[in-house]
Amino acid sequence: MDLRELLRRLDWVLLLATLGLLTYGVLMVYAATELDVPGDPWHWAFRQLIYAGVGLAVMVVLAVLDYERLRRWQWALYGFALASIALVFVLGPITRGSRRWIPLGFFDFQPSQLAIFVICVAMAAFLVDRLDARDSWRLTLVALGYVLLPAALVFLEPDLGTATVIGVLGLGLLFFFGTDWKHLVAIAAAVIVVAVMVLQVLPMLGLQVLNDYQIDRLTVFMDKSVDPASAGYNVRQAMIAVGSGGFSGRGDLATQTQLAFLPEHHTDFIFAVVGERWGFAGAVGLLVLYALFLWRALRAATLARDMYGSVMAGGIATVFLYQLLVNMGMALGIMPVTGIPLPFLSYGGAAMITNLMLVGLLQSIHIRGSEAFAVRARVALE
Amino acid sequence: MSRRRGRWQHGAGLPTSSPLLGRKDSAFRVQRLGRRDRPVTELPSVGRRVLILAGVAVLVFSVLLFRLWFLQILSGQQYVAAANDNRLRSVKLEARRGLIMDREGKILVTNKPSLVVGIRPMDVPQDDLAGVIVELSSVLRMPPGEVLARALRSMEIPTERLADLVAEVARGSGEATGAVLKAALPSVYVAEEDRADVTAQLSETLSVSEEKVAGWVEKAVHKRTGYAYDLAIIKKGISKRLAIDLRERAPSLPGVEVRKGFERGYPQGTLAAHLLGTVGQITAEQLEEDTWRRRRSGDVIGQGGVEYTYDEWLRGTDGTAKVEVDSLGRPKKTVPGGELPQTGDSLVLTIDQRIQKAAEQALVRALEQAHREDFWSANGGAAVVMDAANGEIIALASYPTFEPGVWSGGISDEEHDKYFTASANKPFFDRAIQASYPAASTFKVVDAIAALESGVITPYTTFPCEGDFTTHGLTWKCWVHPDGHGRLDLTGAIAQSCDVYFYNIGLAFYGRKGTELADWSRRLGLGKKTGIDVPGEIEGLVPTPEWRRERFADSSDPTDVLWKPGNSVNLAIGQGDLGVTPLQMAVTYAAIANGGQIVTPHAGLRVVDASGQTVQELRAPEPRRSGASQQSIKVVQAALRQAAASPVGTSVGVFGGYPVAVCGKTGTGEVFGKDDYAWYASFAPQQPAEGEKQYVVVVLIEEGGHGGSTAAPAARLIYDALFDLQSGDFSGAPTD
Repeated sequence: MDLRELLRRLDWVLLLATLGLLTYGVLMVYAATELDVPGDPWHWAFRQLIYAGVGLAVMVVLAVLDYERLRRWQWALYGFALASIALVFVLGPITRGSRRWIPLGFFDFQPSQLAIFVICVAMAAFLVDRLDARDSWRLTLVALGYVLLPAALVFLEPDLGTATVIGVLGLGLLFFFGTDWKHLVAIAAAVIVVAVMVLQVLPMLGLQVLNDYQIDRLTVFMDKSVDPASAGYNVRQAMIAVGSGGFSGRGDLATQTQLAFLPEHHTDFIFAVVGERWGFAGAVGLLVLYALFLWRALRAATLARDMYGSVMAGGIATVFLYQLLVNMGMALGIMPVTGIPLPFLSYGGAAMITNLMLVGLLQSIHIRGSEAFAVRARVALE
Repeated sequence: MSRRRGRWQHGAGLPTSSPLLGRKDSAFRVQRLGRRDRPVTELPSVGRRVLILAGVAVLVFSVLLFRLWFLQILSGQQYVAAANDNRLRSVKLEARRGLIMDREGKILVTNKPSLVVGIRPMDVPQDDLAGVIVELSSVLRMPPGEVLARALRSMEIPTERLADLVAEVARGSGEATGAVLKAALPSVYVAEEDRADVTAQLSETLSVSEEKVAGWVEKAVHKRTGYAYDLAIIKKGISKRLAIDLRERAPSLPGVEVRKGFERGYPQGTLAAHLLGTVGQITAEQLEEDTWRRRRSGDVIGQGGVEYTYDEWLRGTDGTAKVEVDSLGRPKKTVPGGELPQTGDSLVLTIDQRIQKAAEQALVRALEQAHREDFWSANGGAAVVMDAANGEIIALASYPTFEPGVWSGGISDEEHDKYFTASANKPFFDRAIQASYPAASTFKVVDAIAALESGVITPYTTFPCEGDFTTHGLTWKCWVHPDGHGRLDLTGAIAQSCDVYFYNIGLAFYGRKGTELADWSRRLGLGKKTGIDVPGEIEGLVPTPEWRRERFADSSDPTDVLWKPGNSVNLAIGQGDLGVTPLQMAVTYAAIANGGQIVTPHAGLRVVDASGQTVQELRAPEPRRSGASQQSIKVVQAALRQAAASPVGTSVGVFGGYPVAVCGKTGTGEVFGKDDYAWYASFAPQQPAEGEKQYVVVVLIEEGGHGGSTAAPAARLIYDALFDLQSGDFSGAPTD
């Protein structure tokens, strides 16, 4: 396929939505952090720009590459994901009580983020290779184990947020793989039982699966009267930030952000910065970009050349939707506090590059799908 | 489909190779893949599942949109207010206190700029706080416990953290853990319900006995008013050199700030220190008191003297500044909307600083005289100068004295030693109103009026004095004249201070039962507070049979509860259980001078604003009638004049030939185990001309020996100042 055809088959709407989100993100990181480093307002935004650039380069490579090639490496990729996460426990420095990174000198490599991409690619291949066994309980259970193993490792870092993202990715892949509804319902029931056990029953029996702070954060959105100086503080400040934005935002008067009342303002709570600075209008504009993005991802699932591409595209759409819901919901006080970043907006290289890799995958799926469509059409004509 | 085809044909004039190649390649792959995978189009379930996820996405976006609309559009205003609550903080701007002046307008207390050291505990990295406190305490030469206390003022702090801090500070400074804890606890907030737990935990962690800790925890603050981002004042009034030193050490002292402020200045030094009082931060106990219910922790209030009494006038109105702060409470900028502080009104006192100075010097001179006469223990005294007609205090002196500014910003070790060693003799103790002494012979005027009014004697009743007096098997001597005064009437007995005459009166009162002498004592102003507008006054004591019964109810000797003849006889010469303050004595003598009116002593004259306009006249209650007849008063007046002027009078050596008609009585109080206490109670002139003022002067010298030789000459120095006289050397009359 030559460049011209490649460009023609590219999903331009998806690309524009992605670039729009990236622009929005860099501007927001700038707005959130311009006062954080005295004398260097671009400190964080510039780094975010670099990550976006690197991510876009990787995206282009993946878009051009036929994703079929990744399929051959599925076991190597899966093994790499597990090994790199495990390596964090050995090499990772403890930051705020958890080990999530491997310092590479120029870059802090975060395997759990990369694992999202890798597991998407590997697990979709794993499933599609076993299409004939789709309706068997055995395959569903094995697939669950397949995804829960890396998720559990990430959970032990501990990084509850990313662990749930990996879990949800697995569910999304199963869903688009076409797993029997009965299986899906059983999994949903099991998730609810486990959640209740972990949050309520086991602590009463004296077995703490989660740390106290994790339970506090998970339950804080249910109890709005929590002490403003503790777990509820972040959520309360985020809600004040969003609420005070009003319709058109506070612009340069965004004191919640500028005076640092809003914690994690360029990472987990960046949506609150959007809400405060640009108000309802800005937030809705952002939602429109995301909606566009999700539409194209789901469209790629239907256009895909083959089952493999379709399942991956569906899984990617699921993962993005989940992250949007949890991150924005957290800033709006309707979701638990988990450290899940807002795709393309939250500051952070690992998530940025991973997300753009997923976009590259979507583009690849779109390009191949469109190509196959055309080919089939010609074949049919001939 | 046709659109795609059209494009292909349009496609850049490469109709042969590329699409063909692509097609071949792709056709091959579709075939090849067919074995392993199936095209999406053959799987109808994918479309349905995509629709389902799209539906979920629509739902999620609807929820987010609704929530955004709810927060931003519906409740936006409320959150704007919350954001402003977050960022805007009112900072108290302390008003300057008003000035304090004497009656002539001479400034006694002013405000002077000073440098203040404070610490913002929030800005100190947690691990460094103990180190900062230790270093600060050594730089400021304050006990480390004290610095810790000030840094933690009414802050809520987790118990483990407090224990750690105390332990680290103690370790770092070499101070005992208990001492640091004891100093720190009174300024830490501990909720009432937590006190038992906190005590147990502190005592265990720091291994200090639980009993002790419990006592200290009792003193902890009950109301949380301090916050970690407030600047906690550690010391006020530091020197420039120290400020520079602190700036140089800034790297090792994070969170420590030096800033400009004001503190009380005393242009007259120690003058009238007891009367003026001090200012200082409100204490934990005071915060509980009703008087101070409008004050907050950290407020500076009058801590004694007229600063205390007239605090409401002097303190002014604190202002506020609206400051924008960041999430750590650090001020970023001032925003409009604050209120300027209003300086307090000034207080004009009835004091005349010239007379006050004279009175204080007179005490010093009297003590020097006492030392010359080998009364080496003499080391304290008091003097009262009062307008006899209305109770205005012209001077109120107590020795030893202190620097009134000493408490502002913490007392240093040297100052502490200077003021609290035994030889310092309690300089903060106001002997004019807080100490009670045996009235001794000065009490005889009370005897005289009581006896005259009760009909025990007439002015012409005489008793013989042979140098001693025996009744009920006990003998008392006439202390002044052991050989006997011979037969004396009342005037002679007062003038010559004959004890035997008054023993007879005491015995007569004993015979009449009842409490006539005690009643007259109280009517003349003894045994109860005078009502002066200076805090801390004591009541003194006028003993009665009833008091004896209560006082000795638990005594092992059952006869203690009985009022015996000796009690009456002792009371008659102002000894025994009788206790009076110099100020009470001044009120009694004022009543004799002014014809029997009991005045309320007061030091506040009026309150004036910055331009000197009177805001409020400070009127003391109108004088009350004591009930003594003019006739009795006149007799006593004349006798007192004789005492000072007649050739046999007890203070003739001091006031004989004095240009002003002084009426005065010496007194020599006996205190078990101590040298005699010297009194001189007097007033002058005897008959003030129209428009002329009549002054009462009372001097007491602790362990100064004879009243005539130390107290009376001191009084004369004061009269010299009052009447602009120069009456020569300090000399006394060795009689009493």
